[in-house]
Amino acid sequence: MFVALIASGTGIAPADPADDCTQNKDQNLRVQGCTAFLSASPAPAAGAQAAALLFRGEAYEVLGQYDAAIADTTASITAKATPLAYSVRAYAYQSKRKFDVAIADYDTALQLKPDYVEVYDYRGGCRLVAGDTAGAVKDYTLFIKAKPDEPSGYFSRARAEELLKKDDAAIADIDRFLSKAAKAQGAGLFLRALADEDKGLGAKAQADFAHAIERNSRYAMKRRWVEYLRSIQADHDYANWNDKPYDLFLRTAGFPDDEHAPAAAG
Amino acid sequence: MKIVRSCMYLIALLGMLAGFAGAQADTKQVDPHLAATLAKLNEACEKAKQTKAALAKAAQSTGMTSAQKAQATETLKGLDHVISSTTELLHDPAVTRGIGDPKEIAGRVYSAVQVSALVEREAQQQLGIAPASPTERLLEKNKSLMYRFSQAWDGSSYSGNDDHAPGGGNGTKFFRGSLSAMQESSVVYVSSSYQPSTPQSAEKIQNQDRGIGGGVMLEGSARGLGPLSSVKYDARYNALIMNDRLIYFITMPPWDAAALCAEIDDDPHELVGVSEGSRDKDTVYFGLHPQLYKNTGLAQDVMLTDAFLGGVNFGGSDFTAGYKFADGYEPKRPATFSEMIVRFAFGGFTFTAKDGELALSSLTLDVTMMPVDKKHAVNGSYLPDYAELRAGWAPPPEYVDNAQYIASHVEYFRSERIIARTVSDGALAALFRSYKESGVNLKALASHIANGT
Repeated sequence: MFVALIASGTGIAPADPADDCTQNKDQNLRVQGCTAFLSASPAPAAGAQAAALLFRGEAYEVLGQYDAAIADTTASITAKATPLAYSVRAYAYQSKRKFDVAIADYDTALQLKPDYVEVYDYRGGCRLVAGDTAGAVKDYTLFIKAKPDEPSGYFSRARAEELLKKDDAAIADIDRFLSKAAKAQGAGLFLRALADEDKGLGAKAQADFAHAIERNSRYAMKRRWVEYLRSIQADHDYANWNDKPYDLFLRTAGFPDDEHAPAAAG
Repeated sequence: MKIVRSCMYLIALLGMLAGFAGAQADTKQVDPHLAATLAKLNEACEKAKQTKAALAKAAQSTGMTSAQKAQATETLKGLDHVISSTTELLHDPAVTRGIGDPKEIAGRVYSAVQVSALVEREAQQQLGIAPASPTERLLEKNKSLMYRFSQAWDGSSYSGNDDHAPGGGNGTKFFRGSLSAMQESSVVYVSSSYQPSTPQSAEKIQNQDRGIGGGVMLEGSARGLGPLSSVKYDARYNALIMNDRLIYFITMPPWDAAALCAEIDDDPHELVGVSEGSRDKDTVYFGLHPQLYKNTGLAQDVMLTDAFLGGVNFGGSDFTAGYKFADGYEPKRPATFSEMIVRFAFGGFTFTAKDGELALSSLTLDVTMMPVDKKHAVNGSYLPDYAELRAGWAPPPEYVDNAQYIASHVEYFRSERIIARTVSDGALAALFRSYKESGVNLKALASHIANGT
């Protein structure tokens, strides 16, 4: 296996720690910038400190350093309790599989800002990963009601519906997603193919898989892996997995965006 | 109304398939494996009917003791099961309409053929018919092997005289890789290590692999075989017979085994390995003419193993989300990265014989990481970055921890089906290499395996 990841910290001298702290392209640079900003003398105002801690916590989260993310967001909340800080901390707890604490933080974020409707989507994701599939459907439905034109809600709810073996509902949601999503058609087609297969619609599934792979060839490998997970789940041969492996895939898998437009028909 | 189905349905089915292919040649081809295996299934079904009639007649005669009659009654149940399940399979819409992966369907059909061979053998034994091959002699002598074999093929419990009628075969897990039943009694010692790369070790790998792709490589000849005077293939049991006495049961479909045999025959370096690319076009299949085995289940096993172990090594979650790591380990990711590969080389396949059955007893796994150059080798794989290696390159410590974790937990990882399957694939590759060294005509052997002769 090959890995090619760009080295962080390009060596370009930061123009301003505050700029580095607030940018969102290079998370290592963001951590450096926020750290420099927080240790500046004289110390920044309390509100600015809370913001810098939140930004750094968010950067740690993206870097997968969840303990550091929790520490920074907790400090930020102590200085100034904001719904965003609760939401970021919730995701860090969720990543550490501390689902109850994460749900409590999402709940607090919603109490502080009831129109922060994205939290329904986040909390739905948390419930989905935690195994509360019906709860996830409820949250995604709330999100869809609040943002009916946002395609991601339909996609997420379809994942949950597939887990609940509600394949028709899942396909209907994916169709809605496909009619609204601009750049993740492959993801929708792949998910619909899985539902089609569950329904025994082999030919339709094959066509959707092929179209998904046409848009991003990474779906070819994903398909092989899904077949493997389905086979070990069907045979109850998954002692080394936390749950049924294919179900885990539906709960947690990432779906890459399109790389290519589909070839012209004919 | 009772619907009576017949094995002879196959003849009509094959006709339909051929007609379908003729009418829609651009969209659907009759899979040659499926057609050949269906013919064998029909043969097995008809033979089971004949044997059932003969055994039923013998069971009514005075020549059998009451214990023998009781045993015959159980075997008759098994034969009934074979007849009904094979007939059912011949009517399965997945088979008749070719829904899904043709090789997967062919695997199911082939598994049913294997199960019927086992039941058939049991009946023949009760009828006093002598074993016709070394494999049958081994199965007759070794009831526990018979049991394991039956378990592997159809998951049914079969000891020849218990209450559980054998012979299902439909939906067998065998070719989907549930090998635990076959491997139940075997303990495999694994020696593995993480080896830091040097310019010399990188050059050695580059010369052997014709570039470096990382990936999973299945290397080396079989150890512990002793001198080989002959190798035969027993199509009835998908087994290799060495020196007319040592039996090795192949745990992949014969068409994949034939492709592996052909690859090792073809390539002077005898390479078998795949490096998974995140995009299909970046995936590297090693070998002089990798198309010989590129489309096999074996290549897919190796590719998935690379994705899985590579994911562990690089701390990714695409293939490991939800996997329970031994000792509560969590693969680590460094904050900074470089362009590099990881290579997993399974080798050192050592076999021991027990009661005439050859089984894997030990293997090695070497984990290597190295930096790669911007230039690529002709086969599309990468080339080592020698300048970095000479400057003392070392992987990020997080990756070293992950690699060492893999190396020290191979036995745990081997309980993951895809890894077990890859080990099994590597064992067969090692046997073929040893045959080649002993002057066995691998081209002819591949042909025998492919054609079931």
